[in-house]
Amino acid sequence: MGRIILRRLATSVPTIFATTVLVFALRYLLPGGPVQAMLGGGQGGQYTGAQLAALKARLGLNAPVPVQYWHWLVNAAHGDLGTSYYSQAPVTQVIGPRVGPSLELIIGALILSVVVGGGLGVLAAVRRNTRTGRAISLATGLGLSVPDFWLATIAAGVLGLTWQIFPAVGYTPVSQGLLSNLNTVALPIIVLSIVTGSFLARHVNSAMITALESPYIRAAWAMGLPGPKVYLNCALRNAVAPVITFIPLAFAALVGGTVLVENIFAIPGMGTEIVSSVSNEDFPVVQAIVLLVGVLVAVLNLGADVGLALIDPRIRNAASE
Amino acid sequence: MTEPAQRRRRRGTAEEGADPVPGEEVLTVRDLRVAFGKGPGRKQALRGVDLSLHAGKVSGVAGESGSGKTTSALAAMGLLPAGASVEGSVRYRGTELLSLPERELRRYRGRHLAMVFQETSTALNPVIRVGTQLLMAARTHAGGSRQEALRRVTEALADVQLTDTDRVMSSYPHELSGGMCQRIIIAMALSCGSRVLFADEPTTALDVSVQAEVLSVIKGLVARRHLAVLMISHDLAVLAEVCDDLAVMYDGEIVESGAVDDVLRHPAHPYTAGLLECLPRLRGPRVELPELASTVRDADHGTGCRFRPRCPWSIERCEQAPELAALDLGSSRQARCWRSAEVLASSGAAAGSRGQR
Repeated sequence: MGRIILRRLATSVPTIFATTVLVFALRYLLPGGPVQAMLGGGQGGQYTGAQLAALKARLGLNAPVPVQYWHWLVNAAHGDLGTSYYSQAPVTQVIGPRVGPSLELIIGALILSVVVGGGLGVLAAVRRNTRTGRAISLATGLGLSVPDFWLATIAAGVLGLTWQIFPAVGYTPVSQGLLSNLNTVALPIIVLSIVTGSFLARHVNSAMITALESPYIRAAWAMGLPGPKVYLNCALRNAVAPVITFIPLAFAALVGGTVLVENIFAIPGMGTEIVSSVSNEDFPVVQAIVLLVGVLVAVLNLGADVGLALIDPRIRNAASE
Repeated sequence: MTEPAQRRRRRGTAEEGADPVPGEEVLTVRDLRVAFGKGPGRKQALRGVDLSLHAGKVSGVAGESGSGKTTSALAAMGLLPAGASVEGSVRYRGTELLSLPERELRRYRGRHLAMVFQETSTALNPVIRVGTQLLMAARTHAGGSRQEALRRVTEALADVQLTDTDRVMSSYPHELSGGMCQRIIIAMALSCGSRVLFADEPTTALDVSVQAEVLSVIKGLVARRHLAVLMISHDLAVLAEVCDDLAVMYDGEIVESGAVDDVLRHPAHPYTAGLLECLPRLRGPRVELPELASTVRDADHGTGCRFRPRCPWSIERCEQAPELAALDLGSSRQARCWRSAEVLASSGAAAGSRGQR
């Protein structure tokens, strides 16, 4: 098991490193530049050459790019992600309060997708070739084809404004009561999990059907094992693998989803922050958010590989050879 | 163990009844008919099959792919897919199994009837330890008692010559050989209490030395535990080695049956004779092996004898379907052929010439 973790780490570290290079290169690929932006917005701003030079020197932008990158990397490794060009506050302070709401949405949507989507996938496999199975596959097909921006707008409009079941916009932190917090995040979480949940339901469904039609399940029936044991103890264990590989993918997809959903539901998370930072050309904040997401996805991938090895002894054996 | 568990166990034992005495007819299949699909695409897989299994005996079923060997066993176990229509009668020690609801039937599977399949490496769950799988099955039929299940599993493993119990139990299937996996499945059936074992090509996926090992385990169990075995195979050598009786199937019906040596030495049906002709011989002149014309699926399905399109013996009378009829031999030989007496006479001559090889 230790060998698997080491081997995966050996590939995760270069991935994260490549991410940081890309993130850093981003600011030099975009037009304009941070200094112009800070001094009053792009081309034609009212500032002198002396002002520009002074600011550049203060931000350390006169050093060669690799040196700038090295400074940024070393500081980031020490937990210092720089200073926001826009608010002049440390980036960690800008992002800090934004992480909670976003992670709440993402983790909530992941749990909902796995429980409801996975459950429906299993049910559709057990009841395959029946009306229940076909209804589930129709519903998940629909869920996959609905664009999330449309769904979010409709949900906010109909459930939030017309029927007023949930608040249409806004966010209440957990510190002000769990119930009122859940009330504000319920709708965004449901919207986010429709696509991922449908996707997962389909994956689990096909993996479960493969398992149910395998010789060892036929043998389990032939030994007279009761249905729940055959489905849950024997078949499901073989159908868990796609769920585990799916989680890092879903996480990455959900990060994209939160950018949209947070903006529609006005939730103060990383998604709204990154949109305003990009339009403000506030590169240190953008870099920090992209870096954070990259590291989280890499860590989840590592976790998924370990999880796969835990459930399947064949992977464990192959890795230790 | 607690009091209720013990009560459950006692009641469970009463349900199972006494052990069958050797020679007792434990499973009787009569006029078994199976069809798949509906309407014009309907395929008749079995056309009235009769089989009898006796405690302490091995009955064989031979035939090529698609002849209905496996379907017969699956139908008797109630394991056919939902779309199959099954008619006829399958009686296990007086209980009609075909009319039992799935829930009731499930209590007979494992505890009374078990089935071993051809796949050896995939017949055990790849992600669960062998011991866990064995105990899960045994416990289902041991009233939920873990100690009782463990006792039965240990005993059954010893019965299939797997003495390194701890190592076997803590292994995953991919860490064991195909022969071991097959013996573990047989042990699983034993630990559940099975008295009838359907063995569907149990040695086909194994190499010859391992094949002999598994066959000797099965023979040992038949002798010691009075297991009733239905051995399904296309390999006549395997059948000749382990069976007492043999039925030869062709296109969903039995075309010939009787004591295994009689059937293989003196076939009375052209199909059996043809199968035997296809076997390579070690001695005698080298000759090109004959083959049976076409396959079951290509054959034209008109009326009359189903083997007629491929039969070198066919005559005009074969347009009427022959019944499975007793042969004039004083034994329990049966054949489904108008010309069985002539086939038998010619095979007697063939057997004589084979005796010289």
